[in-house]
Order: sequence, then structure tokens, then C-alpha cells
Amino acid sequence: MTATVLKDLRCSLTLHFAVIAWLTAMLVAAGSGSYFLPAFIFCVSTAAYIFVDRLEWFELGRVGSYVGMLAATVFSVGSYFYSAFSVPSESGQLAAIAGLLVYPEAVLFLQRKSLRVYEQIAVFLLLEMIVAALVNDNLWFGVLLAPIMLMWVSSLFLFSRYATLVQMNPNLDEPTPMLAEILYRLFVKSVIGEKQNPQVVTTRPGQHSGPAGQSLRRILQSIPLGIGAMVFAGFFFYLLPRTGAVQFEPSLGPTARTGLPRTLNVGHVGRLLSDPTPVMRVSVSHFNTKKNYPLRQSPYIRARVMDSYGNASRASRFYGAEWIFGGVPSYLQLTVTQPRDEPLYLNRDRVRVEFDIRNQFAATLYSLPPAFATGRATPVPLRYDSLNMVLDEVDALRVPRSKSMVYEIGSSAFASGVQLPIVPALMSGSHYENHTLYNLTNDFSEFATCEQYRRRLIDRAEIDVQRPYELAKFVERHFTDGDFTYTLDLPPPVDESIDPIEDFLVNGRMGHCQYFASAMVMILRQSHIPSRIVVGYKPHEYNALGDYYSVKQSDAHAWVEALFSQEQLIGTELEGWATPAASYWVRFDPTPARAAETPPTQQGQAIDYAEKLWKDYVVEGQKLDSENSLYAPVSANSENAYASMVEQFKKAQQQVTSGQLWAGLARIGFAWQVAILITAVGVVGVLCWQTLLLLQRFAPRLAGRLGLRPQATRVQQAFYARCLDLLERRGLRRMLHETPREFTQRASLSLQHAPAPSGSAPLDKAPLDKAPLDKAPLDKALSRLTGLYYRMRFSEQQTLSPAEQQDVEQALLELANYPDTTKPQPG
Amino acid sequence: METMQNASQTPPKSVVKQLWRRWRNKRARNRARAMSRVRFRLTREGVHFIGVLLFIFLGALLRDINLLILLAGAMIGLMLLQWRFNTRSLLGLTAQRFLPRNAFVGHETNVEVRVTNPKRWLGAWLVLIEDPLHKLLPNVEKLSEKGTAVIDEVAPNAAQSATYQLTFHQRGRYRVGPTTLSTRFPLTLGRGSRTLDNQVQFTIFPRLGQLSDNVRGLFQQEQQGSARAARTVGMQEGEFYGLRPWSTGDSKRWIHWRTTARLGELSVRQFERRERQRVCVLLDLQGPSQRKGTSSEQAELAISFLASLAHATIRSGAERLAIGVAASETFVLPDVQGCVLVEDLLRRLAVVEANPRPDLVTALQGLTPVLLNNPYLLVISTRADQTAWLREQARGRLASRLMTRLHIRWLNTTQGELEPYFT
Repeated sequence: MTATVLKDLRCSLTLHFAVIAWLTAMLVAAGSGSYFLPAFIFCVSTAAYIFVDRLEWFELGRVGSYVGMLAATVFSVGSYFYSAFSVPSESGQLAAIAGLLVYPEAVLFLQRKSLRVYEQIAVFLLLEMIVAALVNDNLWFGVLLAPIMLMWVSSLFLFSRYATLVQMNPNLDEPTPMLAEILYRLFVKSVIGEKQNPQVVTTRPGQHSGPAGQSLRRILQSIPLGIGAMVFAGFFFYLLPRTGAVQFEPSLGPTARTGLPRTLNVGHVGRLLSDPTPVMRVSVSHFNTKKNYPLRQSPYIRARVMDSYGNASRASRFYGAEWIFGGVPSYLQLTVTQPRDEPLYLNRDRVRVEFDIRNQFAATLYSLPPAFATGRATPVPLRYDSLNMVLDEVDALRVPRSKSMVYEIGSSAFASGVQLPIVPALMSGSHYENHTLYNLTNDFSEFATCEQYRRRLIDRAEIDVQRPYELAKFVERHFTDGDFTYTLDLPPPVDESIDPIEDFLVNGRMGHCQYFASAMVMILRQSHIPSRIVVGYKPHEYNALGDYYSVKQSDAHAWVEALFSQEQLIGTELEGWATPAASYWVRFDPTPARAAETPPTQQGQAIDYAEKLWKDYVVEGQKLDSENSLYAPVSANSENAYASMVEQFKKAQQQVTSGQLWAGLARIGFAWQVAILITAVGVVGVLCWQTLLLLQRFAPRLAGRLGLRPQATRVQQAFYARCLDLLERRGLRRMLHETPREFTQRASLSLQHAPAPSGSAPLDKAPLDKAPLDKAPLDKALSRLTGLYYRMRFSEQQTLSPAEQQDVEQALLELANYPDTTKPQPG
Repeated sequence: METMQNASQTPPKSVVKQLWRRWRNKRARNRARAMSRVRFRLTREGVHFIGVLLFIFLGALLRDINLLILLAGAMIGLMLLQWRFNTRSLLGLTAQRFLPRNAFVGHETNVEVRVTNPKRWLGAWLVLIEDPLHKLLPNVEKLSEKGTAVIDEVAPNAAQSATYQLTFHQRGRYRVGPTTLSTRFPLTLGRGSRTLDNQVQFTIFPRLGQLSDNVRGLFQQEQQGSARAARTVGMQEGEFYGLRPWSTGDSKRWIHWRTTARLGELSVRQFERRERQRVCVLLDLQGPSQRKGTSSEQAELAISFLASLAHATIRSGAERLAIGVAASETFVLPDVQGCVLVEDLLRRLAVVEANPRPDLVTALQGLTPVLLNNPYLLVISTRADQTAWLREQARGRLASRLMTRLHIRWLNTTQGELEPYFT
């Protein structure tokens, strides 16, 4: 073992740990939002690799290491307290915790490397992985986990080699002594005194180096190991029984809450429409079969209702003119449908709608009316405002602090894959409801410009105002088919003295959905048609892989809802959808079609779906406690796991006695996507491993070049292989055309005719047990070995008797001790 | 043969003997089983790893943080892989050690260990071979040094060799082994080890020094003539005795070409062995009981001189030696005249120790037959000249004929009297 080899090993180890440090710091940074630490550790570890390990220009000595560690600790702890008390900042605390691990790593990288230093780096990196897992729960953790695992395995490969060499020869490793060690040595030296024992023996370790291409070979070896570890981790994770329900632990990452606002000024929706932040995933399935319910159009996902409009004359255009909810909610607990409600859902499909809302938007709950409960447990109680057909909001402090909140409601808003525009209005006839309805018709009487515009519009079109639905439909078409333009690039107001909606209506005629909805509501109300604005989302991206709509902030939308009595709908296209209800809310969307959008790519869909799987099956495990999961028997009764186990045992016993066990097992579903993924990864790992083996068999030259071909001799009879090995050392190699006997005869002749050594070897240079140069024993030894080889190779007697074994050993010893005349003799 | 086997398989009649044999067999089986077992131990790195793993796992379970459970699963997977690799890859490995039966102090000795992997599929990687060393004679001591070598890979159904070098600084009898095969592969989180029952003993001969030309002066002048003659005719030749067929090892100089031509096969001349006078040397190692594992430099010098003298004398073929040793044990080799006998002498010298009261007279008695022919005695001693004392002690125990002719040359190593002859 030369110093160069060891130095290369150290350099390679440092590089491996440096890469792990970068990747782990990136994981932490992706969660905490600060990229200073990865940049810092990248610079330090690169400098350490070049200047400390490769060039050996400098290194941190003992004192420098202590000072560096102390400074790193003081700085990080100080940063933490500063972020905790002086200027409270969660991200600052995270950065301080991460720094507490990264800064000592930097100090360790700058030290002279030894086993101890590498161990400490490894421990710090593992702890950093914990921090990364706490602060970063997005898909990137899973994506980077695989390369990090492979790098770990590869590093530990190297480390095992380094540790083995050090174990073989401890002098190779000269660690910087710890303070306690220094004190102990001083104590021993001063008090006890150094004891000099005479040296009995000096050893020089040996090493048989493997084939060339070790680095590639190591990397190839690390792949199946890393994959194996990951596969095990997957099975371990999914098969670990969980006695408690999945807890929604607070994430240490940023938790901004910027969903749809409660008040909506004129420019607010415009800002939302330019924000591509994902909000939620919405999936629709048949109520009974739970299979995907395909939709022909994007659904209108309802969030809030705005029924009151602020007066623009009282404030500026953008801050005073805002929509708010000024009505009275009528909350009731969302219940499962009763038989008496059946007429309300006549001719409609009953579906389940699952909302998977990201945490920062989870204060607002969404619905697709008419809504009802499905019976599935929800993380928060769902209170349904029957008058406004929205779900009550959740107090921001009571939102479960998890990555997302998932709940499911039932809906009968669809028929044949189309969301119907008509919804039965559930009125209780209370005073508050009447007051609210009154406001919906009389709120815009003072907007003269709009009134003039409305009169001109109706007069020109000769619409019968006594038929309110046709009037509303005409107004909708006026906006969608007229000379109005949809744009997010709003022009400055032409006339600032009037309301911005009126200015849009008569001057600008350009705007986004909020302008169109506001203008239509203004016209409808001035026509005494009760109407209001509904704010929510109209998603554009359907993920075919996961069968869900991916909703973004840019999908925010505002539309109009008008109230009609059953009589007012007679003779219209909606008459057929009428149910035994007194009045109906009818949806109008006056916003013209926007410019063609770029459809989401398949790749983007795949990433989004992978994120969903990661969240569902790993981070929060929401799918793990579902009734289809393998965990269901354990986690169903989480309060008393033991009682649950006993109960399940009794059930299984009953099933066995009744012969239903196998039928029951057949019904157990599993997260098939994850099962396929894990199986595929495992198969790939096995294939990689088998490829290495097959490569050695079918492409030995290529395998040799790659360093995959073992150089050791393939043997069937170990003693004969040893014989061949000994002869090969003397330059005698068996040819392909030679039989073993021909070869040994040739070897015997060749050795006997080799030039005799120059004089007898002096006795002090050669072991005394070596026989003098006599050809006959060699011939006999080779004959004995070959004969036994033939017997074991071609006869049924495959074993050697003890006497034969002794004979073989003696023959091999004679062969080994036979003087090598091909080499110059010492002395 | 069969009778003997039947006799050996017949159970002894005594119940105690039966129990004793059964217990002995059982102990041997248990020992063999224990030796073949692969042991797994966590390394220091593995202990650190387990510590962090427990921290992660408990934290993940208590707080139900799934990512940490996943991380813990991966770590447990790595640990299981480590355990499985360590235990399986070492199973079935055999090691065969090749080393000379003896060597000299200060000479480097190559020890080759050949590891065979009989498994069909699983190889063994980073196999560390460790041969512990024990000193058995003249004192028992376990040495801190080990013979170590590492083999990067032993492929399935293949064998691989590695060598290490040993240089001994003290003579004696040593034991090498049992070999321990261990591996930390692949992740150094644990270490599997397996001990093989393959210990062997070998002897380290005393250090050989350089004899100066003055050594010849130690022997009598009348022997020089015969020695010179022996050098000219060859070490094995004497009076012509007859002819015989050629056999392996015969010198070409002995071929009798005329007879060979006549008979058509090689024939060589046969000689009578020359009877030469033997030189008598007596080694007197007197000294206090030595500290454990050490020996006085003077004693070592005396032993080394005697070993070198015997070695060189036999190499030259000029003389024959009669050697007596009075030390911790007393023995006499009356006719040291070949490699085998020199080796025997060196082997005994390798383990000899000083004695406070060496039995010189007994050694002298053993040398009597030789001294009667050649009464010149060379004494290599670690004490001052004790010729008078020796004569006094030997009076009455040795033949008076010898006592009158005996001529003793006493060399005291403590006074540096060997320096002119030996370095």
C-alpha cells in the first residue's frame, strides 16, 4: 500500500462526502428557502478537496479545528436565539439549525482526513438529512433521496476500503488527537513513564489489488445496493403497522395563507390570474362505484359569494370599488342525502368530489352545489350555507397544519358529464333571507351611466323585460359575443368620475372576468333580477394520469348567479332540469373566451401526479388509512390498537370458520401505483445485477475492460488450480490445445531444462527445509497432482482421502519450494 | 490394518473412559462449529449509525413524520444488507497458508495465504486476513503484531492469494494463526469475521553473523591440511570404492565415461566416506533467569556465533562439528555434518535460554568420545574463564586419559573475546 493510493482514496472519499453535503444542503435549502448554506458548503468542500486533500497545501490543525468548531457552534446558536427572540423569524431559526450542522461540516472538511474525521462528517450529514426531512416535504426530497442514497452507498464502499486498510496497518491513519487523548498521553508520560518493550517482530501487510477499473466497478456495485435499500425502505414504510391515525404535524417550512380574499376589489382577480401557484386538485368520481366521472367541461368550483358592491364615488377606483359578502349565511351541517331529498336530484348524476387543497389555501373550502355529505370523515366539520351554497370558511388557526387538507363532498351538479347551470334554491323563507334577496335586486339603482346603457341595450334588442331569463341570457351573450375583449392588461380609466365598472361598460370594454361579472350583475339588478357574483375557480388543466383537475391561482374566476322562479324558467332550455323547487339559481358566465392557452405538457402532468402520489402515499399517508389500504385493519380503530387487533383476530377467526377469508383477502386493495413502482425499481435493480453477471459470461472482453471480470482462476478442483497458479508464476501457462497431462509434462521438462541457478543458494538466504535442486521430486509432484485431477475430474470419486489430501499438500509444497530458476538468485 | 481399525473403534470398557471420549468428541465438535461460525459485530461507524437511526426512528414514530420513517427504513435496509453480506460472503471461505517451516532472525519471510471461495454465486470482497502471532518458546507471549493482508475480491468458485511479510527480531518457536477472515464490505457498518482452525508452528533460527578469517585460528593446525585437501577434491569425495548406476543428485564429475560407454547407461564412481576429525565446541550459557521475553546480548551473541559457525562450517564442507550446549537444557550433538543436522542444531539453539547453573560437566561427558580423538575444546561462554573450575568438576567423571590431554580454549563473550572472530 503506497501513500499515493491512500491519498487517492482520501481524495475520492472527500469528494463523495462533499457531493452528499451539497445535495443534502440543497434539500435543506429547498425547504427553508435560503441557498446560502449550499453555496457555502460547496465552496468550502471544493476548496478542501483541492487544497487540503489533493495539493496538501494547508489544513486545519488541532487548535484551528477546536476554534473553528467553537466559532461555528457559537455563531449558529447565536443566530438561533436571535431569530427566536430578537427578530422572530421561522426561516431564520431553520437556517440557524441547518447552520449548526453545516458549519462544523466545513471545519471537518478543512481538517486532515482520518477515519475519525470521516465518521464525524458522516454523522453530521445524517443529522442534516433529518433536518432536510423536517423542512422539506416536497417531491424533490424523494427525487434527491435516490442519488443521495447511491452516493452514500458509494461513499461507504470507499470508506469500508479505507477502514480495512487502516485496520490492516494503523500507521496509515494519523488522526488529530482529541484533547482527552492528549491529556491522557501527557499523564502516562509524566506519571507512569514510557515503557519500551523490545520489538519481537515487524510485519509488512500485503494486499492483493482487484482488477482495473475499480471506481466504475464500485459505482456499478453500489447501484443494486442503493436500490435494494430504497426498495426495503419502501416496503418497510408501507408495511409498518400504524397504531395511530396519521397526524398532521406542523411543517417547519413557510406557511403563507393567500387564498381567495374575503373582499374583492376590482383589480384583485387580475392579480390572481397572473399567479400560477397551485391551489388544489379536484377529482370527481361516481358516488357508488367510486370510479372516475369524466367531465366534458371544466367545472365551476365555488368558493365565495359576493353580493354587495362598494360605491366608487367614496374612494379611489381600486380600493373603494370592491365586492363583499353583505348577506346573511344560513349554515347547517352537511348531511348525507335523505330519501326526501331525492326529487331535488332528479335527472342528475350523483358524484363524489374530492378537494385536495394545499395548506396555504386551506382556510377557504370549496363546493360544487348542490352538495351533500358522503359519509367519509373530514378533517374539519363542514358547515354548508344553503342560501349561498358555499362551505363555511375555517379559522386560519384551526386549519390542520399539514401539507394539504383533503375532504370529500357529494354533488348532484352534473348530468352526463356536464355541470348543469341550474341549481335548486333552498329557501327557508326567513326574514334574513328575504332581506338578502331584497338587496340582490335593489343595490345598483344609483348607477346612472349603467342604467342608461342598459336601457339602450334593451331597447335596441327589443327584449321582453317580463321574461327575465331571456333578458339575462341576452345580457350574457352581449358580453360574450359582443365587442368586449378579455384582457389582463387593463387600460387606464377613461373617465375617472364614474364607477370603474361603468367606465369598463361604456368606455374601455376591456377587462377580465371580474369586470364582466360585475357589469352583468349591475345590469341584472337594475333589471330587478336578483343576482350576485360567485368567486371560485374554473380549472383548465386536467391531469389524465391521475384523473383530476389541477387548479392554480390563475384559474380564479368570477361568474354570475341569478335567481329565477320555476315559472320564469318555463319555456326555456332549463325547463327540463327543473325539480320540485320554488326557485333556482342559474349560472351565467359573461366572460368572453380568453386567448388560447398553452395546454399543459405530459411531462408537467407527470410531475404533478408524482407530487400527488408523494404527498398521498409518503408525506402524509392520507391514502394509507383509507379503507382500501393494508393498514385499514390496524388504523381503523386507532384509539385502542390492542382492542382493534383482538377484534380483527376474532373477525379473521369467524372468516376462517365461515370460509370467507380468501374472499375477504381478494377484496383488499393496495396502493397499486406504489406497488408497481416499488416492484419496478426492484426488478430494475435485479436486472442491473444480473446484467453484470451476464456481461462477464457473454462479453468477457468488455467486462474485462470495465473491470468486471474477476481475474481469479475459475476452478473446479482447488488443488489443481493452485498447481496451475504456481506454474504460472514461473511463466508456464496452459495452452488451449494442451491437455492437463501434456501441460504438466511440458512444465516438468521446461523446468528441468531451465538454466540451473548460479551456484547453490547460500544456506542463510534460503530456508533450510527447501530441497536441493532435484528434478525428480518435481516430476513426481506434478504427476501426482495431474493424476488426482484426472481422477476427480472424470471419475465418480470426487473426494480425496485424508492420505491423498496430505499427498496433495506435500506435492504442492514441493512445487512451491522448487527453486525458481527463471529469477536471479539472491547473493 | 483392518484389525487396527476395529480395535480403535471398539468402545472402551470403562464407563469413565466412554464418558471421557464422548465429552472429548463433543468438545471437538463444538469447537469446530464455533470456529466455522461467522460472527458479526458492529463497527464504531455502525454504532454511530445505529444511534442516529434510533434517534430518527423514535422521532418518526413518536411524531408520526412519514419522511423520517422512510429515511429510517432506508437506513435499516442498509444495515440489513451489511449484516447479510458480512455473514454470507464469509461463509464457506477457506484459507490455506504457505510459509516456510523456519527462518532466520532478521530475514524477511513471505507468508502467502490463499483464500478459496467455493460458493457458486456470491463473491467475497475486501477480505482482511489476520494471522495472530504467539511466541511459544523460549517464553510464551502473545504478540501485538499480526500478519495482515487484504484481498479485494474472491470471485465465486475461485481462489485468490495475498502475501504478507514477517521479519522476526528474536529467535524462538512461534505459532501463526488461527487465521481470522473478516470483511467490512460493503458499508463498514459492521464487521463479519470467521476464524479458521489452521494454526501452525515454525521456528526462527538465531541470527547469522559474519565470521572473520581469524576463526580458522581457533582450530588446531593439523586439521588445516585435511581441510585444504577436502576443498580441492570436493566435499563428498573420498577413497574410490566402486561403480554404480547414476542416480538423481550425482555430480557429473563422478560419471565414469568409459563404463558408461561400455554399458550404454550412466555409471558413476562411488567413494568411501572420509573420516575427518571433528571440532568440539561447547556453548556455556550461564546467566541469571532472564526477564520475560528478553535475553542478554552476550547470550545472544554466543548463540549467534555458534549458529554461524555451524552454518559456515557445513557449507564449506571442510569440517565436522561436535557441539555441546549447557544452558537451560543440556544436549550434545556429536556429529553435525549435514544440512539436516545443522537445521536440528539451529532449531534447538532457537529455543535455548541461559541458566544460572549450566551443566557443563554433563555436556562435556557427551563430547568425550569425540574429545578422545581430538582433545581440543572450544568453549563459548558468557562468563569469565572457568577452565580450572571445569577441570575440577570433571575430575572423576571424565576419563583420566582425556583429562590429561584435554586442551580448552575459553572465549568469554562478556569480555568481547568474540570480536576478532565474529561480527
